[in-house]
Amino acid sequence: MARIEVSGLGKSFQAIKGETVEAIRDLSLSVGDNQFVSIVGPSGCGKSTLLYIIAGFIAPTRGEVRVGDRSVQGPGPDRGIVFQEYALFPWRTVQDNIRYGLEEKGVSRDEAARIVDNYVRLMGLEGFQHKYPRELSGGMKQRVALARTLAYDPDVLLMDEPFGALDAQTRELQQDELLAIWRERKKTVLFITHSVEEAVYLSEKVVVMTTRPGRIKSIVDVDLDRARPREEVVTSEGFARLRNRVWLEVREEVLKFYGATREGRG
Amino acid sequence: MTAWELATRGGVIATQILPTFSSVCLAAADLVSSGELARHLAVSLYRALAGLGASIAVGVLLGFGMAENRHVRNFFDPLVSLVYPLPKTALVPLTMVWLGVTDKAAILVVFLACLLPMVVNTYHGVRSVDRVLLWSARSLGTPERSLLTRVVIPAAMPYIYNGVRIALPVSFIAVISVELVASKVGVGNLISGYGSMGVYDYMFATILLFVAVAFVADRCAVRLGGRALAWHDERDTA
Repeated sequence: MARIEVSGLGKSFQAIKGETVEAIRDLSLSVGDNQFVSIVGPSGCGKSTLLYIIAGFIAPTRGEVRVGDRSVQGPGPDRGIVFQEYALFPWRTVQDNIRYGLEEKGVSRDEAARIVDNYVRLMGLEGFQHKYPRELSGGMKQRVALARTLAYDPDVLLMDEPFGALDAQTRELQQDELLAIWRERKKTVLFITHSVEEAVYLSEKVVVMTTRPGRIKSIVDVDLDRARPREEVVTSEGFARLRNRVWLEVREEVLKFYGATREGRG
Repeated sequence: MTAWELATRGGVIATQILPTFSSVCLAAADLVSSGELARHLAVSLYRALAGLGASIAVGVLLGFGMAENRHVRNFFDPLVSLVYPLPKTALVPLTMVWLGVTDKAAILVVFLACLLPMVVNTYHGVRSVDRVLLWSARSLGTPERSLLTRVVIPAAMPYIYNGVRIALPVSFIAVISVELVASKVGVGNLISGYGSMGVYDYMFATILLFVAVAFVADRCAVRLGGRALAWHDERDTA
């Protein structure tokens, strides 16, 4: 059974001058239980819009989204979200941020403290529990954001370019940390990224979206052996082949979008 | 200060216009030790802080209301814009008629003067809460009705505090303005009294002492707010 089922999704927005912008048209997608799926595509293709609809922040214009066989009516603790901007609560310390979802869940203070401690250790945040977000680096903030979402244990993890604002080295480290967590905790992950390399490295399936109005262009299965260390995976021929294939598909759409903008059709 | 003393003693500036620094100091010492200042200061501070407190309570509520509800905003927007350019001291004759030469009249003027900064700052504080914070809270299990207390209020606090910091000196200015013309007690009354009697060293002394008190009050506000809002990063817009 699919954990996330998107059927015939359509989404249009009213732009400032009143004209209608169609972000997504007739998009259908299935994500299986405990799968790690990435979505790539040109800028403005509707990737984030799709994620926000699945998360329940925005309502679709047409079509339906079902998560865990229930129709999505709004946000909920069954779908955790991680944003590129971290979205940490600045008035709360690191540990209070992580504890937030547990408070909403009604977990007892002692149990919550135990869970928070666990995640502080897991995400390498020891010594920073009492710091405020303003005192943290980008990488640390991202770790707190991830810990906060994982702490109350949602089944589904929706990630909107979570590593986009990090430097290249931190980004790679975070990718490996995420993979380790995914392997151990068994979650369904839907991951949006601009980086084709990142998508191929992390996922079992890479979904390529067309330029606006977005729909699925193709789905590429990634059959790499991820038990191997990063150095081996990234330098392997299999990786290069997959990366090139996905990249060319995305490139095609990027050029379409670019061409359309040049001619003034935006 | 030395220049002041020399200029006035040496006759460069006539003492009718500017009393000597030393005479002002003597006057100040007298005012403090005799308890004269304290007596009037208590009245003025009471009026200023009462008006400020009322403006914070009403202003924050109004700011929230206007930020969250379109109809509230449309209703109060023109009222707020009308009150803004109006010099509150122009209302003093009116308040004298309505409420006489009393505490209530002074507090009303202070209230009106401080209302705008509180409303405007609260409004912007609520409007600038980043939607990803609200969305994150919802995904973490916060029901829609609890967003106000769990996210919006804490996020808006730095802006509300800013409003208070702006309104505080305004409350002091307003109370003095009222008391200059429409009061039998208070620091403003003291100043205008000495002024009209030509006792300029006491008048200057009163003004300077009052400025000192206002300064201390502001520092207190900064210290209090600074501690509670240590988490706020001014560089972030959200």
